[in-house]
Amino acid sequence: MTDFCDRPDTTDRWRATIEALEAVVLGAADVPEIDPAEAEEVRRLVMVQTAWQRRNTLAASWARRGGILPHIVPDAEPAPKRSGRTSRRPAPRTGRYSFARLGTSEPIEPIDQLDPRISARPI
Amino acid sequence: MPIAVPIPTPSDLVRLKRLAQFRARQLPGLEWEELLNEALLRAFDGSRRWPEGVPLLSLIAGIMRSLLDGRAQQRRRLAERTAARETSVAAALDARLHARRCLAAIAHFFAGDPDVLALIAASARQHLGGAGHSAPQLSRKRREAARKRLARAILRGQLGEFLP
Repeated sequence: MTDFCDRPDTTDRWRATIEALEAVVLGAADVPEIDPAEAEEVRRLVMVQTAWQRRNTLAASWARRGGILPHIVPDAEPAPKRSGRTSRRPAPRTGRYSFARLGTSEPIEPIDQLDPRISARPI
Repeated sequence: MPIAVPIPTPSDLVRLKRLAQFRARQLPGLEWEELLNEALLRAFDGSRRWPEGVPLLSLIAGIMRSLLDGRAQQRRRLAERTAARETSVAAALDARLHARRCLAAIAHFFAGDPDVLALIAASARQHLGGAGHSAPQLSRKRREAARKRLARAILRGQLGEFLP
Protein backbone atom coordinates (compact mmCIF):
# COMPACT_ATOMS: atom_id res chain seq x y z
CA MET A 1 0.00 0.00 0.00
CA THR A 2 1.37 3.37 -0.94
CA ASP A 3 1.51 5.77 1.94
CA PHE A 4 1.59 9.35 0.91
CA CYS A 5 0.48 10.82 4.21
CA ASP A 6 3.94 10.89 5.75
CA ARG A 7 7.32 12.39 4.88
CA PRO A 8 8.83 14.73 3.80
CA ASP A 9 6.83 17.80 4.93
CA THR A 10 3.07 17.32 5.00
CA THR A 11 2.29 20.74 3.57
CA ASP A 12 4.71 20.18 0.69
CA ARG A 13 3.21 16.77 0.06
CA TRP A 14 -0.27 18.24 0.04
CA ARG A 15 0.81 20.91 -2.40
CA ALA A 16 2.36 18.26 -4.65
CA THR A 17 -0.84 16.21 -4.43
CA ILE A 18 -2.86 19.25 -5.51
CA GLU A 19 -0.50 19.61 -8.48
CA ALA A 20 -1.12 15.95 -9.33
CA LEU A 21 -4.90 16.31 -9.11
CA GLU A 22 -4.75 19.52 -11.12
CA ALA A 23 -2.84 17.73 -13.88
CA VAL A 24 -5.59 15.11 -14.00
CA VAL A 25 -8.28 17.80 -14.31
CA LEU A 26 -6.38 19.62 -17.05
CA GLY A 27 -5.66 16.39 -18.89
CA ALA A 28 -9.21 15.03 -18.68
CA ALA A 29 -10.86 14.92 -22.08
CA ASP A 30 -14.29 16.02 -20.92
CA VAL A 31 -16.52 16.20 -17.91
CA PRO A 32 -18.72 13.08 -17.79
CA GLU A 33 -21.98 14.70 -16.65
CA ILE A 34 -22.20 18.43 -16.25
CA ASP A 35 -24.38 19.94 -13.61
CA PRO A 36 -25.79 23.05 -15.36
CA ALA A 37 -26.06 24.86 -12.03
CA GLU A 38 -22.34 24.41 -11.42
CA ALA A 39 -21.40 25.59 -14.89
CA GLU A 40 -23.73 28.57 -14.50
CA GLU A 41 -22.18 29.48 -11.17
CA VAL A 42 -18.70 29.72 -12.71
CA ARG A 43 -20.00 31.35 -15.88
CA ARG A 44 -21.46 34.14 -13.77
CA LEU A 45 -18.10 34.72 -12.12
CA VAL A 46 -16.41 34.94 -15.51
CA MET A 47 -19.11 37.24 -16.86
CA VAL A 48 -18.81 39.59 -13.91
CA GLN A 49 -15.09 39.90 -14.50
CA THR A 50 -15.36 40.40 -18.24
CA ALA A 51 -18.12 42.98 -17.80
CA TRP A 52 -16.02 44.83 -15.26
CA GLN A 53 -13.08 44.79 -17.66
CA ARG A 54 -15.26 46.11 -20.48
CA ARG A 55 -16.37 49.03 -18.33
CA ASN A 56 -12.82 49.63 -17.26
CA THR A 57 -11.59 49.65 -20.85
CA LEU A 58 -14.26 52.15 -21.86
CA ALA A 59 -13.23 54.49 -19.09
CA ALA A 60 -9.57 54.12 -20.02
CA SER A 61 -10.27 55.13 -23.61
CA TRP A 62 -11.62 58.45 -22.38
CA ALA A 63 -8.73 59.20 -20.08
CA ARG A 64 -5.58 60.98 -21.20
CA ARG A 65 -2.91 58.46 -22.02
CA GLY A 66 0.00 58.51 -19.64
CA GLY A 67 3.47 59.37 -20.86
CA ILE A 68 2.33 61.60 -23.70
CA LEU A 69 2.56 65.25 -22.82
CA PRO A 70 0.58 67.79 -24.82
CA HIS A 71 2.82 70.00 -26.97
CA ILE A 72 2.67 73.71 -26.38
CA VAL A 73 2.83 75.29 -29.80
CA PRO A 74 3.27 79.08 -30.22
CA ASP A 75 0.39 80.85 -31.92
CA ALA A 76 0.87 81.86 -35.54
CA GLU A 77 -0.14 85.45 -34.80
CA PRO A 78 1.57 87.44 -32.05
CA ALA A 79 -0.59 88.31 -29.10
CA PRO A 80 -1.88 91.95 -29.14
CA LYS A 81 0.11 94.29 -26.90
CA ARG A 82 -1.53 95.72 -23.86
CA SER A 83 -1.87 99.44 -23.86
CA GLY A 84 -3.29 102.16 -21.67
CA ARG A 85 -5.30 101.45 -18.59
CA THR A 86 -6.84 98.29 -19.75
CA SER A 87 -8.01 96.40 -16.75
CA ARG A 88 -6.60 92.93 -16.29
CA ARG A 89 -9.90 91.80 -14.96
CA PRO A 90 -12.26 90.03 -17.27
CA ALA A 91 -15.04 92.16 -18.57
CA PRO A 92 -18.07 92.12 -16.32
CA ARG A 93 -20.72 89.81 -17.63
CA THR A 94 -23.48 92.14 -16.64
CA GLY A 95 -25.28 93.94 -19.44
CA ARG A 96 -27.73 96.76 -19.57
CA TYR A 97 -30.59 94.47 -18.82
CA SER A 98 -29.17 93.53 -15.45
CA PHE A 99 -28.31 97.12 -14.60
CA ALA A 100 -31.80 98.10 -15.49
CA ARG A 101 -32.97 95.57 -13.02
CA LEU A 102 -30.76 97.23 -10.42
CA GLY A 103 -32.42 100.52 -11.10
CA THR A 104 -29.97 102.19 -13.50
CA SER A 105 -29.53 102.03 -17.25
CA GLU A 106 -25.79 102.93 -17.12
CA PRO A 107 -23.05 100.38 -16.53
CA ILE A 108 -21.33 100.86 -13.18
CA GLU A 109 -17.64 101.83 -13.26
CA PRO A 110 -15.26 99.37 -11.66
CA ILE A 111 -14.50 100.47 -8.13
CA ASP A 112 -10.73 101.07 -8.71
CA GLN A 113 -11.51 103.50 -11.54
CA LEU A 114 -13.66 105.64 -9.34
CA ASP A 115 -11.15 106.31 -6.60
CA PRO A 116 -7.57 104.93 -6.75
CA ARG A 117 -7.28 105.21 -2.96
CA ILE A 118 -10.01 102.70 -2.49
CA SER A 119 -8.27 100.04 -4.53
CA ALA A 120 -4.95 100.70 -2.68
CA ARG A 121 -6.59 100.07 0.64
CA PRO A 122 -6.26 96.52 1.82
CA ILE A 123 -9.53 94.76 2.16
CA MET B 1 -3.87 45.66 -22.58
CA PRO B 2 -7.04 43.67 -21.83
CA ILE B 3 -7.25 40.30 -23.52
CA ALA B 4 -9.98 38.85 -25.71
CA VAL B 5 -11.62 36.07 -23.74
CA PRO B 6 -12.76 32.96 -25.58
CA ILE B 7 -16.14 31.69 -24.44
CA PRO B 8 -15.50 28.75 -22.11
CA THR B 9 -17.55 25.61 -22.62
CA PRO B 10 -19.68 24.24 -19.72
CA SER B 11 -17.10 21.49 -19.35
CA ASP B 12 -14.32 24.09 -19.03
CA LEU B 13 -16.33 26.01 -16.47
CA VAL B 14 -16.82 22.96 -14.27
CA ARG B 15 -13.15 22.07 -14.58
CA LEU B 16 -12.26 25.65 -13.65
CA LYS B 17 -14.32 25.27 -10.50
CA ARG B 18 -12.62 21.99 -9.56
CA LEU B 19 -9.20 23.53 -10.10
CA ALA B 20 -10.10 26.49 -7.89
CA GLN B 21 -11.55 24.19 -5.22
CA PHE B 22 -8.42 22.07 -5.04
CA ARG B 23 -6.07 25.01 -5.13
CA ALA B 24 -7.98 26.90 -2.45
CA ARG B 25 -7.55 23.90 -0.15
CA GLN B 26 -3.82 24.54 -0.16
CA LEU B 27 -4.39 27.26 2.40
CA PRO B 28 -6.92 26.73 5.18
CA GLY B 29 -9.62 29.39 5.25
CA LEU B 30 -9.42 30.42 1.59
CA GLU B 31 -12.63 30.29 -0.46
CA TRP B 32 -12.46 28.96 -4.01
CA GLU B 33 -14.69 31.75 -5.37
CA GLU B 34 -12.33 34.36 -3.97
CA LEU B 35 -9.33 32.65 -5.52
CA LEU B 36 -10.96 32.15 -8.91
CA ASN B 37 -12.22 35.71 -8.93
CA GLU B 38 -8.76 37.08 -8.26
CA ALA B 39 -7.23 34.84 -10.93
CA LEU B 40 -9.83 35.92 -13.50
CA LEU B 41 -9.23 39.54 -12.64
CA ARG B 42 -5.51 39.17 -13.26
CA ALA B 43 -6.04 37.22 -16.46
CA PHE B 44 -8.53 39.64 -17.98
CA ASP B 45 -6.87 42.91 -17.07
CA GLY B 46 -3.77 41.75 -18.90
CA SER B 47 -1.46 41.99 -15.90
CA ARG B 48 -0.49 38.37 -16.55
CA ARG B 49 0.91 37.52 -19.94
CA TRP B 50 -1.09 34.94 -21.87
CA PRO B 51 1.34 33.03 -24.09
CA GLU B 52 0.13 32.03 -27.50
CA GLY B 53 -1.43 28.57 -27.64
CA VAL B 54 -1.93 28.19 -23.88
CA PRO B 55 -5.54 27.21 -23.08
CA LEU B 56 -7.58 29.44 -20.78
CA LEU B 57 -7.79 26.68 -18.17
CA SER B 58 -4.02 26.31 -17.97
CA LEU B 59 -3.58 30.06 -17.75
CA ILE B 60 -6.05 30.40 -14.87
CA ALA B 61 -4.58 27.34 -13.14
CA GLY B 62 -1.10 28.88 -13.38
CA ILE B 63 -2.32 32.20 -12.01
CA MET B 64 -4.07 30.48 -9.10
CA ARG B 65 -0.91 28.51 -8.34
CA SER B 66 1.24 31.62 -8.24
CA LEU B 67 -1.37 33.49 -6.20
CA LEU B 68 -1.40 30.70 -3.63
CA ASP B 69 2.38 30.48 -3.50
CA GLY B 70 2.53 34.24 -3.04
CA ARG B 71 0.02 34.11 -0.22
CA ALA B 72 1.80 31.22 1.46
CA GLN B 73 5.10 33.12 1.32
CA GLN B 74 3.39 36.22 2.64
CA ARG B 75 1.99 34.28 5.59
CA ARG B 76 5.38 32.75 6.29
CA ARG B 77 7.13 36.13 6.22
CA LEU B 78 4.47 37.63 8.43
CA ALA B 79 4.83 34.80 10.89
CA GLU B 80 8.60 35.23 10.95
CA ARG B 81 8.29 38.94 11.62
CA THR B 82 5.73 38.47 14.35
CA ALA B 83 7.23 38.85 17.76
CA ALA B 84 4.92 36.26 19.25
CA ARG B 85 6.54 33.05 18.11
CA GLU B 86 3.64 31.00 19.44
CA THR B 87 1.35 32.53 16.83
CA SER B 88 3.57 31.51 13.92
CA VAL B 89 4.09 28.02 15.35
CA ALA B 90 0.33 27.68 15.76
CA ALA B 91 -0.30 28.83 12.17
CA ALA B 92 2.26 26.36 10.81
CA LEU B 93 0.74 23.56 12.87
CA ASP B 94 -2.71 24.54 11.63
CA ALA B 95 -1.57 24.36 7.99
CA ARG B 96 0.16 21.04 8.60
CA LEU B 97 -2.89 19.60 10.31
CA HIS B 98 -5.10 20.76 7.43
CA ALA B 99 -2.72 19.17 4.90
CA ARG B 100 -2.61 15.93 6.86
CA ARG B 101 -6.40 15.78 7.05
CA CYS B 102 -6.76 16.36 3.32
CA LEU B 103 -4.21 13.67 2.48
CA ALA B 104 -5.88 11.27 4.88
CA ALA B 105 -9.26 12.00 3.31
CA ILE B 106 -7.91 11.14 -0.15
CA ALA B 107 -6.38 7.95 1.19
CA HIS B 108 -9.68 7.05 2.81
CA PHE B 109 -11.74 7.92 -0.29
CA PHE B 110 -9.63 5.70 -2.55
CA ALA B 111 -8.99 3.04 0.07
CA GLY B 112 -10.58 0.46 -2.19
CA ASP B 113 -8.60 1.53 -5.25
CA PRO B 114 -4.85 1.12 -4.64
CA ASP B 115 -4.06 1.87 -8.28
CA VAL B 116 -5.48 5.37 -8.00
CA LEU B 117 -3.58 5.96 -4.77
CA ALA B 118 -0.39 4.74 -6.42
CA LEU B 119 -1.01 7.04 -9.36
CA ILE B 120 -1.55 10.08 -7.11
CA ALA B 121 1.51 9.23 -5.04
CA ALA B 122 3.71 8.78 -8.10
CA SER B 123 2.50 12.02 -9.65
CA ALA B 124 2.93 13.93 -6.38
CA ARG B 125 6.45 12.56 -6.06
CA GLN B 126 7.27 13.93 -9.49
CA HIS B 127 6.12 17.38 -8.35
CA LEU B 128 8.25 17.04 -5.23
CA GLY B 129 11.28 16.42 -7.37
CA GLY B 130 11.44 12.66 -6.90
CA ALA B 131 11.57 12.75 -3.11
CA GLY B 132 10.28 9.81 -1.11
CA HIS B 133 10.50 6.10 -1.55
CA SER B 134 9.75 4.35 -4.78
CA ALA B 135 6.26 2.99 -5.35
CA PRO B 136 5.38 -0.08 -7.38
CA GLN B 137 5.09 0.89 -11.05
CA LEU B 138 1.73 0.41 -12.71
CA SER B 139 1.41 -0.90 -16.21
CA ARG B 140 0.32 1.61 -18.80
CA LYS B 141 -3.12 0.09 -19.14
CA ARG B 142 -3.75 0.09 -15.38
CA ARG B 143 -2.36 3.59 -15.09
CA GLU B 144 -4.72 4.93 -17.75
CA ALA B 145 -7.70 3.16 -16.21
CA ALA B 146 -6.79 4.58 -12.79
CA ARG B 147 -6.44 8.05 -14.29
CA LYS B 148 -9.92 7.81 -15.78
CA ARG B 149 -11.44 6.72 -12.46
CA LEU B 150 -9.64 9.52 -10.65
CA ALA B 151 -10.76 12.10 -13.23
CA ARG B 152 -14.35 10.92 -12.94
CA ALA B 153 -14.31 11.17 -9.16
CA ILE B 154 -12.83 14.67 -9.30
CA LEU B 155 -15.00 16.08 -12.06
CA ARG B 156 -18.21 14.73 -10.59
CA GLY B 157 -17.28 16.51 -7.38
CA GLN B 158 -17.29 13.31 -5.31
CA LEU B 159 -13.73 13.72 -4.07
CA GLY B 160 -14.19 17.42 -3.37
CA GLU B 161 -17.18 16.73 -1.14
CA PHE B 162 -15.13 14.26 0.81
CA LEU B 163 -12.25 16.64 1.54
CA PRO B 164 -12.23 18.76 4.73
